[in-house]
Formats: sequence, C-alpha cells, structure tokens
Amino acid sequence: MSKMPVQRLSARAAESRFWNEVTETMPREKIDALHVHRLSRLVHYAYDNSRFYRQRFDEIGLKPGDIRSIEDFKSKVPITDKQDFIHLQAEDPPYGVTRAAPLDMIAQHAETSGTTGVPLAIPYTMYDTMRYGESWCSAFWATGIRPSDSFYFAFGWGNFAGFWSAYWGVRRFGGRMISGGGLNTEGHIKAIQRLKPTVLISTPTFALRLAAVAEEMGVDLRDTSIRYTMHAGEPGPTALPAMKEAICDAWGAENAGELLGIAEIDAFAPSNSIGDGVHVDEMCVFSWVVDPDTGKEIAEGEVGEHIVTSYTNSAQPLLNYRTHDLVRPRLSCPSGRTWLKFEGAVLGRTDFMITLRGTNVYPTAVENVLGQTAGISSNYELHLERKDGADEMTVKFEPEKSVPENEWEGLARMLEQKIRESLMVRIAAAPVAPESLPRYDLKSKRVFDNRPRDFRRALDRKETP
Amino acid sequence: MTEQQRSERIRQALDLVREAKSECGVPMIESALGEAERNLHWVLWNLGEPVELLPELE
Repeated sequence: MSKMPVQRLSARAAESRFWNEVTETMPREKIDALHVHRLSRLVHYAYDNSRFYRQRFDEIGLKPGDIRSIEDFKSKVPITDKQDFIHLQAEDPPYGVTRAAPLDMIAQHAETSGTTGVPLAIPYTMYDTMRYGESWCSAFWATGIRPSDSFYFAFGWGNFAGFWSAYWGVRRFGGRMISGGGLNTEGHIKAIQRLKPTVLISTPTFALRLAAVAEEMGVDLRDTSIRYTMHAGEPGPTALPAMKEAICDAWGAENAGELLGIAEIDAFAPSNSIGDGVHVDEMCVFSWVVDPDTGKEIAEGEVGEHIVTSYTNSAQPLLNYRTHDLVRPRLSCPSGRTWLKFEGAVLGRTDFMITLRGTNVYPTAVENVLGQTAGISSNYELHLERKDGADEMTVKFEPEKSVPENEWEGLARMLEQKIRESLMVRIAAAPVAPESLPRYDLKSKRVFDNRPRDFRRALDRKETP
Repeated sequence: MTEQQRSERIRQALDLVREAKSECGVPMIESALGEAERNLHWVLWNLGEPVELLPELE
C-alpha cells in the first residue's frame, strides 16, 4: 500500500468552477487590452522571423509599428488562407518561407489531412506543444473531469495533430494517460474493460462506432468505467445535441464535451459547462467574425466566417487566418466564461466541407479525383448518409459509354482506391448506367446530404449546394 | 497574496531560473531549467501579464 502523500490541488483550487478563473472570467476590457499588446508583439515577431510575412507586409507597405489597436490589426494585416501556405511549402518543403523558428527548435511535426489536395506541414516548437494542450484542460474541467480521472485515447497516432494536442493537454492536466493506438475496435473495448479509464477521447462518430461493435460483442458500455467522453475532429456534442444524447446514452456517461481546433492554429475552443457552445481561448488566439462575401465584420449574434490568429504557434505564425468555419459569436454566456463564445460551435462551412471518420473531405477534392480517372464520365453525384453511427459517402458515377458493363465494378474499385490514396479516406463508389443520372441546365446538383437533420451541422441542415 | 504580488514573485522566480541556467554547462540541468522558464513565462501569460511572446524575447 502506497504511503505517498497525494495532493494534486489545494482544496480551494479543487472547488474552482474554472481551470483558470483569472482568464476565463477576465473582463472584456482587460482581454482586449491584452490582445492589443500581444497582437502588436506578434506582428513584430512575424515580420522579424518569417520571410513570408516580411514579404507580404513589405508588398503593402505595412510596418509592424503600424499596429497599435485591434482595429489596426483587423484592417491592415492581410487575410491569409491555407492555400497560400500550401503553395509556398510545396516550393520549398517541408515548411518553406512560412517557418519562423530555426529548424533545430522544431520539436514536433504534424500535417493536415490533405483532403483539399496537398497536406499543410505544421511545425511546433517545444513551447508550442505545451501551450497547445492548455485549452483541453479548460474543456476537461468544464465537462466535470478532474486530474484524478484517467483518459483512454481511441486514436491511431500519426501525423494528424488532432489528438496529439489532447495528449499534451492530459500531460498538463495531470491525468492518467492510456493509449489505445494500434488496436482495432474490439481491442479498444477490451482495453477499456481491462484498464478501467474514466474518460474516452475519440471522434464523436468513433464513440458511436465503438458502441455499435460493443453491442455485437454483447458488451454493455454503460457497465464500463467511462464517465465522460471528450471529442474533437468533427462536429461533436455541442454542435449536435442528438449526437451528445446518443453518446451519453450508449456509454452511460455523465457528460460529453468537445474541443474545436484547427491543427495549424491551435486546439483553441473548449466547450463550456452548459454544453451549448465553445469559447475561444483568448489567451491562445485572437478571433473575429466576418461576412464571407464582403469581408466586413459582423455583429454579435449574426453568422459569419471565423478569422483567427494564433499566439501559440511560434514555429509557423498564422495571422488573420481564414477558417472557412461559419459561427455565431456571443460576448456573454450564463456559464460565466467571458471568452468569445461560438453558440452551437461550428454551424457550417463556407466551402461545404464534410467530415468522414475524423477526416475532412471537400466535395471538390473528390470531384478532382473523379476527373482524373479514365473511363469515368463527368456525370456523378456524391451521396452522404448516416450508417451505424457514422457518416458515409458514396460516389455514384456514370462510366464512359465506351466502357463495357462487365468492367464497371472494376472501375469502381479502382476509383475507391484512388480516392483512398489521394484523400486518405474510404468512400464507396457505385457505377450507374450511362445517361441515368439527372441532367441540369444550370448548376448541377452534385451533393446529396441524406443524413438525418439532427446529425448535420446547423447550416448544413438547409439545402446542400 | 494579491494577484499582483503573485505575479511579482513569479517574475523573480523566472529571473532566478534564468540566472541558474546561464552558462550552467550541464545539458540535463539546462534542459530542465529551460522547461521551468517556459512554464513560468506561461504562468505570467495566463495571469494576464503583458509579457513578451516568448521567454527568449524577454
């Protein structure tokens, strides 16, 4: 029997409503004053250390000293987009002119999933990795999780940043970390039964996939040790209340939380104690929201595109970065957090991105693969369904008339393989007879979202493009 | 202890860590003190102190 004295936190800290009450409830004026100071320092840092920003600023005659207010930052610092960085990295891999820290200070490498075509390489310094974990701690605490909890990662480790940041968060939080990497679905369930973790970390759809497989195995997950589930990587319990109910019911969990993050920016927006939205961790990022058509800032309560700047990626600074996420900002919340809130998390995408099993998929990227595959005509449809608790996409395509019918299935398998190799996601392909798909005089309807309304992000519940 | 006093103590600790780390010459000690320096900088940042972006820039 261990006689080691255990005191993780003082009694006062243990009773705190927040992981860091100092900043999570900081008055708006003080938060904004900090943003002015930090944005100013960040612009200097980017100009001094990143060839990309020096060139961009010089092109428009912007001097770092010109940024003296939040308004200056919004109006004078150019908006950037992932494609800018991918393009430049491709010219001089792996990081090109976007890197701002010396290569020997890069402590970890990650990549985006590459579903838009080419992955974005993401360097992190040691300090970056430490800071990336902090917002997870705020999410854990708000969900009811404490450092005495133990965390099971149902996640295959790779170069995807997603749950690496959760790992950094658990290290910071002080919980017991259990990796399930490499196990299959049944193996995860058996490991949870054997190791008795109290928190499941996974994509939300994988939490439901585990539930479906457990049922086949005759295992009732409500009898396991899991009391909380935490999610990232795709629309989760905050964005989709039906998803939260399904997960909590399947696992017998007291609560399910999530964290909105963007690999190249930060894991930056923890869910709150109420579960009705995520809050931007304004110690880690600066966020504002614009009308995607005009670029003008929108008012509180309206829906617009989130533009974000990271304080925590010093290896590759990203300033005024387009997220393509549509959000509804709020400046107050009954949870008591004063950080900018996105009611209902991400409501949709400006580019109608779909997330399949944690991988972001853009219909245009699938269409690109179709266009590059010999024997497939330009007539096709992308169908999105929900099966066994997960989103699935099927490509219905018309083979070229010159392809004999007995070769259609072979063509479909080849297409599936090309999609898997190019986009790193499994999408089914189904041939249909030439001339059988509907034709359109104007813009073709390519995407059919057949998922139940409750399993779509709010804005995707409308007619799809 | 007030928040202001706490921040001041942490700044003093940061100075002490930097002093101990300076030309220490022991890889293990320098590395661990570097981590301490980053942690103390992060604490000041999260107390809302207007510190530099990185501890190296202080």
